[in-house]
Amino acid sequence: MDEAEFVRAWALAQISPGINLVKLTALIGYQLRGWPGLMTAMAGLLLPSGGVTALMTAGFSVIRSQPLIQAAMRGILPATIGLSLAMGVQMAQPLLTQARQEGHLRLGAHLLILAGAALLLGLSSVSPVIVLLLAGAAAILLLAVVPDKTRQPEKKKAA
Amino acid sequence: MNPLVYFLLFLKASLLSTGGLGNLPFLQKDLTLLGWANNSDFVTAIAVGQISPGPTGLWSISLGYLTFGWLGAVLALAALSLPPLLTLVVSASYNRLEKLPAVQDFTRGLSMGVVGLTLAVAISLAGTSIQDWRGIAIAAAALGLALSKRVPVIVILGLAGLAGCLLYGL
Repeated sequence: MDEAEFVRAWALAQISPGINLVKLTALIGYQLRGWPGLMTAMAGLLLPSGGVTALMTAGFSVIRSQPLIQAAMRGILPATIGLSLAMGVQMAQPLLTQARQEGHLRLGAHLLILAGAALLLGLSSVSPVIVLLLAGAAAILLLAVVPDKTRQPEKKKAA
Repeated sequence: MNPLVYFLLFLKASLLSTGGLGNLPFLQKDLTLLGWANNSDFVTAIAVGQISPGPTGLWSISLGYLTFGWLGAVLALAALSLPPLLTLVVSASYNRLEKLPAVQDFTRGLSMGVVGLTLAVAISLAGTSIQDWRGIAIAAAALGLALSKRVPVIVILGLAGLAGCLLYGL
């Protein structure tokens, strides 16, 4: 497997359903050894880490009523909220940086979609699927209307 | 709880998301409506998912155990294993689709939507897991440390546990 193949597998993993690392593992396994490669690669990733995750949860369930554990959890649970927010910020960062280079209006369009999705889910009982489809549709409409600054010079050169 | 419905809800969440906490909004909505999980199950499962080895996306295995025991963990693992196989199908049509501007814009909108959903769910979960100013301070500190990218997640959660012991345990 060369670097270009790996980059393509990585890009594919970003847009298809499921956990990125699992998809990447599936693609690499399939590319190298076909279906047996895919099965062993996925089992090698999922069984140990999934098993440990379940065992840790089981262990936690046994000790969760201890006062010291409860005190620790009162610190860990708020930290989990902070980490979830950080994951959201880190996911948005590369796209927002790209959008800012394309112009302030494009950046505004991205932020509008982000805020709209958050408000729609937070304040209404709309299904997350609908919210995501609306976000995608809004992006097609808004980004078609708002010009991309970085693409215009190329067009002029071509003309 | 019906194991088949339970499995299908996890499968749906996995099919409609691309990893990390992407499946969280779906599971939170569906399982909470059915009364099969509460907000503290979700926050605990996310914490275990961050601490345990492997991708964060495995947090739903922990949610499975908390809400449905070992059967729940196995069903959650199965639901996580199937959608990645679709990558092979996407792989076949990807070269033709990726260049279309509409597809690129749609994918961008989806990503922004996923981030928006993540923020909305995190804020709704904060209601049950953050009880006072000390909780707010810990959440803010964890956010700052995670964004600095200098401190591993497991260290952040270890410090948070220690802070919990010191602030609430003594």
